[in-house]
Amino acid sequence: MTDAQSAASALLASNRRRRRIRRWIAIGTLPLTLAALLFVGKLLSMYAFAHQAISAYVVDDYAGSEASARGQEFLNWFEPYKAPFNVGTALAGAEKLPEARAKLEESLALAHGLEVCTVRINLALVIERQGDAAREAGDGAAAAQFYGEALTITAETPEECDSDEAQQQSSDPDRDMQQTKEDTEDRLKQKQQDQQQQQPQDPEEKPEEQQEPQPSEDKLDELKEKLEQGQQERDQRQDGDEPGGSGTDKPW
Amino acid sequence: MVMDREKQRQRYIAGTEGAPPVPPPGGYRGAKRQQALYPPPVVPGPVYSAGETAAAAEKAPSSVFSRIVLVAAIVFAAILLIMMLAGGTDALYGVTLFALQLVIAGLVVATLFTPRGRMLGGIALAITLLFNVATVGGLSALRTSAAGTYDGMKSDEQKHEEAYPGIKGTDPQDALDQQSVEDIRAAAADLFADIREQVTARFGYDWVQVGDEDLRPERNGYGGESMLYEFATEGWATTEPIQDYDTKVAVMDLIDDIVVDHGMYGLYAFNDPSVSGMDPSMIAKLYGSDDPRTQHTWESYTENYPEPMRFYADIYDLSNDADGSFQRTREAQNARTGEPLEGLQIVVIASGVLQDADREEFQKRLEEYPGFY
Repeated sequence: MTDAQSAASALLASNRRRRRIRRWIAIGTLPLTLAALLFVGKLLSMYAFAHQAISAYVVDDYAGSEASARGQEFLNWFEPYKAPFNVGTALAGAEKLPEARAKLEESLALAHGLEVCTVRINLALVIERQGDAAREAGDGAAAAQFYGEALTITAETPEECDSDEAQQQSSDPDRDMQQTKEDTEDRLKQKQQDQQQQQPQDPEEKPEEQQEPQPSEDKLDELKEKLEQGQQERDQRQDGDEPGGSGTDKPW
Repeated sequence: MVMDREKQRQRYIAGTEGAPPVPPPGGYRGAKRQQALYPPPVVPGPVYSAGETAAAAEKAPSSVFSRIVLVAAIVFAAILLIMMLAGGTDALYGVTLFALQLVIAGLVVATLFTPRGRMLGGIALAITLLFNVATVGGLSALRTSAAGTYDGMKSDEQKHEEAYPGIKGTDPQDALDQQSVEDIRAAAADLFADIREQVTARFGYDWVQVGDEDLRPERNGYGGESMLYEFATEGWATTEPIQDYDTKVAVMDLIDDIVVDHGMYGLYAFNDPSVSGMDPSMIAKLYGSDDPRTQHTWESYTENYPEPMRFYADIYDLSNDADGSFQRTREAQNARTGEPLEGLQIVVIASGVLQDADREEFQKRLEEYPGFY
């Protein structure tokens, strides 16, 4: 064999060896490459699905919003509370309240720190609307129970949710989170009271220290008349004749 | 002999006009051996490595196809960036751009496998990987999220609904018939004046104003803002603590009389388990205990339905704060509003109310929404 042939042969062998090394490197790093692609794809899809979920919700396309939000549930590793939160909010928009509540409760279990603030607000709103639905269906006891549960969710909101930092993380930057929480709490107290007043009460059961007013006789008659009138009006309002001005806010 | 040589020479050069003779068929005898024995001298010059040889080979001009694909990738990336800057996140995530992105990606990959297209194809691939609908769309989504401008693709009907001046589910005539912001402000001022005067006359408390009134627009339920407001008056608070149970009862009784005089219903105590609709455990959670004698907060409420005024009277009592948590809450509130840590506080709130100045415009805009709510 001549020197030229030897050189050519060596070159061919070198090229083969280099190709073989490349192939094995490719095979060896294939899992890492796939994982990296999956990671990047997941990250980028999170933004896409979240944006589409919100955009669809804004235009009342709740089915589209839910479908996009469910796309976030695949490999739900990062900020995992957001996927069920968005699904639950879309379901609430579509008035699928029990399903929405289940998803928001799932979200609450996955949320940490200040993440719970916005979840609690929407969860309380959804349960409040369950109470409204029960009230419209004439089930005052169930309505009162729902209002109580919503009030519990609101009352157990951490104090940190009143902070500026929490407000910055709010999904509704146009509204003050603390104010929304207080409004919800006030509204729920009133609704619970309305349900309570619909049920007959025995005055003799009132304990001595009750804070009821003790007006004069003529004032008492006037007060009684006003209370009865007010009760009738409230009953009408709760029957749906007059929706009233303290309706439940929509989740966002 | 001489003649023979001359004849041979003439035979070789005849008719060639001086050109050297061609070698005989098969070459000169022993020529290969001589070449092998005496290799030609090596001329000194540049020595190329394998890589440089390859680079020299790449210097051949790139294919027209690869140039076209590179330009297409650059133009597409520029379009994406312009759309991002214009806030077109929805379009970036749209089907059209997604389809175009697939076409670009297919062309770029195809370029990598064409002759003289690998280098420009690689550049196009790098550009496409950096600037595509996913990456630029993600950046645009972040910008939209930060700005909160989720306009979506609303139909004309939805845009019309979005501008509805009333509140969904509420008869707009209610807002016109009931007390306005100005009416409530005046009524609340009268009510507060009476309460302050009579409470001070009987119990000797001094008062301070807490915060300023707050007027917040309410949403209309169609994705926009209504012309109605949630109105909270300024609050008033006593500067002295009220910790005695009987005094608390007497104060609330007096306020109850006053609110009835002002056309409201009797006070209702949220914190009293004997009358409250709330579960005792919830009462304990909100007010520190389900026993009014040991509660850190008393909260009473009334309204003047069908008018929108809601009146709240709260008594904060830090002496019933067992674990100090309520004191921390009150201190945080004090830091925000400057209000006293404990004592009596009163405030009026009204929802869905209209300002007198907006009344005419409200009616005018409602004409665009006949029978709509």
